[in-house]
Amino acid sequence: MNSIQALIVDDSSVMRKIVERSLRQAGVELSKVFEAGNGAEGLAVLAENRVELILCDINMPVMDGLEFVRQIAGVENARGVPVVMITTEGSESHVVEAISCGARGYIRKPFTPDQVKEHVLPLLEPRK
Amino acid sequence: MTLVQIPTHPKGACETASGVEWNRLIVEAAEEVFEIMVATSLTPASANDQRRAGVTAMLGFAGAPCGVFSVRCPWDAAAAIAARMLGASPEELAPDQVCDALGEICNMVAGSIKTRLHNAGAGCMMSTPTVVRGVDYEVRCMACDRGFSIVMEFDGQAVSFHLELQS
Repeated sequence: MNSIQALIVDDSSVMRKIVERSLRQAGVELSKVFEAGNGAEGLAVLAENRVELILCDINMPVMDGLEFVRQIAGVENARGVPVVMITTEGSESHVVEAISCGARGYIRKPFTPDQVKEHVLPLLEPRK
Repeated sequence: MTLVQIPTHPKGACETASGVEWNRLIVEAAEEVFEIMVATSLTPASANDQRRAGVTAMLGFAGAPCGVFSVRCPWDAAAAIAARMLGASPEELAPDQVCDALGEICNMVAGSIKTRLHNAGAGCMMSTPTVVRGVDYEVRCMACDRGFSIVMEFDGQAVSFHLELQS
């Protein structure tokens, strides 16, 4: 697998580190990881940088994850980039809403590295 | 002593989630989060454990149920939780990381409770967590009239989980 750039959007800095570690444990080679504390910060990152993978929480201040996913539909640097939601919101209605907004995967917190592997690696397979 | 009052929805704006075994719900959610994210098991502790909380993470529920969920523990316990989550030693961590980690634990346990309630037919929204650090304060949920408290241990450290609800 080629080395990729990823964006992790979560209002918890601890969770951003855990997600990054889980990606590396899943075998994802990361050349650079951008971090954002909410959707608005995530949009600012994408305005300047191209990434190959986005992992995003839902419940965040300023701009939540669902609104972020809606807005990146119009961002050139996010075109075709898989988005995986990683969130405490585990209800089916949230999953449906996230997918309808454009998310390609959904992982409920708490999560294991194996779950990250299962949900993220298939989305990166075309890059092999 | 400082009183930290948490406002919830006004009376009448809440629905009730009836028939729920709250203590069991809290324990199952807490055990799940600690086993997966902290890589340790929780065991029951004495309900009379008098160790004072040095840090409290809390968030609000609105809907069914309405109330406040909080996780409280001594600072050293919070640092041990954060260290386990990050794969670091407690001495390496900044205070902000310790508070952030306990806030995320609170968020995940509450989220697990919320998902279990949703699966049982109840629905509510959840706020983002707030963390208070200190030893001389009391947390009180405004308008809540019943509560459930569970004290548990991991590695000899105490951590307690509290759910205060409006009827």
